[in-house]
Amino acid sequence: MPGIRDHRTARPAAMESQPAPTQAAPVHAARPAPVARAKPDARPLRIAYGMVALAATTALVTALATPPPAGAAAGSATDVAQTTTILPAEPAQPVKHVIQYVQLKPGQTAPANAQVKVVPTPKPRVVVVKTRQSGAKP
Amino acid sequence: MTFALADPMTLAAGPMTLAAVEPPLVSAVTGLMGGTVGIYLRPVDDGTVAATNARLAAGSTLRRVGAWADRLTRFAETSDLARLNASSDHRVPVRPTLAAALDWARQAEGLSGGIVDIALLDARLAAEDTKGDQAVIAAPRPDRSWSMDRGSRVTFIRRPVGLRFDLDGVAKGWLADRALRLLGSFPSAVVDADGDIAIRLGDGESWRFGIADPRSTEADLLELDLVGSTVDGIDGFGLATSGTSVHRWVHGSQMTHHLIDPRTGRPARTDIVQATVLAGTAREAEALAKTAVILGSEAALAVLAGHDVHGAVLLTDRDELLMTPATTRWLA
Repeated sequence: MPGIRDHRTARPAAMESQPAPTQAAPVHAARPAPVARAKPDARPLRIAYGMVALAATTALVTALATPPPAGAAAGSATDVAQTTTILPAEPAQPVKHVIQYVQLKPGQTAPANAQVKVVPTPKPRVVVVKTRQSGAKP
Repeated sequence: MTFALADPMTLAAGPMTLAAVEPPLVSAVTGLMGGTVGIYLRPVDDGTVAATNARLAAGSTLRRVGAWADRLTRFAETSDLARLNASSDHRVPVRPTLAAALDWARQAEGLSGGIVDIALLDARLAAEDTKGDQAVIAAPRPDRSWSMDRGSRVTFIRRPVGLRFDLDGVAKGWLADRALRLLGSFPSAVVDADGDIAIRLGDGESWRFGIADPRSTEADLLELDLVGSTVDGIDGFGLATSGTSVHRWVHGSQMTHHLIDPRTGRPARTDIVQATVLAGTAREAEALAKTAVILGSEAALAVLAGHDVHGAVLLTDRDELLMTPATTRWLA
């Protein structure tokens, strides 16, 4: 196939000039030893990672161990006060609660000026269920 | 129910709405446990889909009740209870349904001050044996103590070899409550386990229940109108009846019945012919009704007052009808 090198047929020129290997000699011994490529030095990157981790840990410990600033305990109240200052000066639209009716619990009395109405008890459903002395099983 | 009204127009729509939605009840009844078991449901609305769902739920619940009853009966040799009774071991493993029923039986014993005792089968069978001599057969077994080792999958019952159990009404009340829990999607539902009835009614809904008169099949002793009410915090009822007039036998020159007094090992000597209790659950009502009959009217009223039941109706052998004060609220 064009463009694809056939490993079975393509030999280096240096091998062709050498005598044919004996049967005992390994094939790979005839190939040139690969040149070891030098790896980049990992130490600077490791040092950089260590520095970042140390900085992050220091920041976390500092945040946890440092006592809160004065007034922080009343944070919610402070927040509310600040929120109040940015509201518009004019009063909010009053909300009108209209109670149309309430159901009185046993013992409760009706509010003044309320019209009291007794709801008739619903007509009971007559079920054919009857409690009785039962049979003997189980 | 009373309303304080500020706007009459608003209230006018309230009761009308309540009255308008009244889908017909769905019921399913079958023969089980030597009697009749019925389920009564109010569908969630008046549509055909809701009615179909209610019918399906009622049917499947009835089948579940039948399956549970098959495990708890002493009348079938293949039941879990029969296997327990027949075991020759001190420590016997039981499956969850029987374990749960026995667990309730243990609680009912405490609720009743020891009067509800499921380990009296031998005494009961002796009472049914009309050919025997009551003075001989009624000797109570002294070693009736038993206990449970409850595990996540298997529960072990420890009891003296030969001690046999009879769940009887204890199982019926328990089954009724358990079946009612399966019907939790229905606002109003009733499970009648052969007279032991578990009831849940929607808010404001009222159903009428009868109390059978053991002296007559023509009329009821009383009728009760029970009302579901979230205001009162009542989310369910249990209604059960026990008595001495149905299961009774001539024993020599004496009449005996099936309710054994654990203090004597003999059929209870009592002035109560029939006791009906309205409590929060069917199992509680059943246990307390049985306790009332065995104790007799004087002690029964004291016990019932102590348990703060919703109501109780006692019929004595003097044809007196005794009621706890709370009962009057429900009288039809």
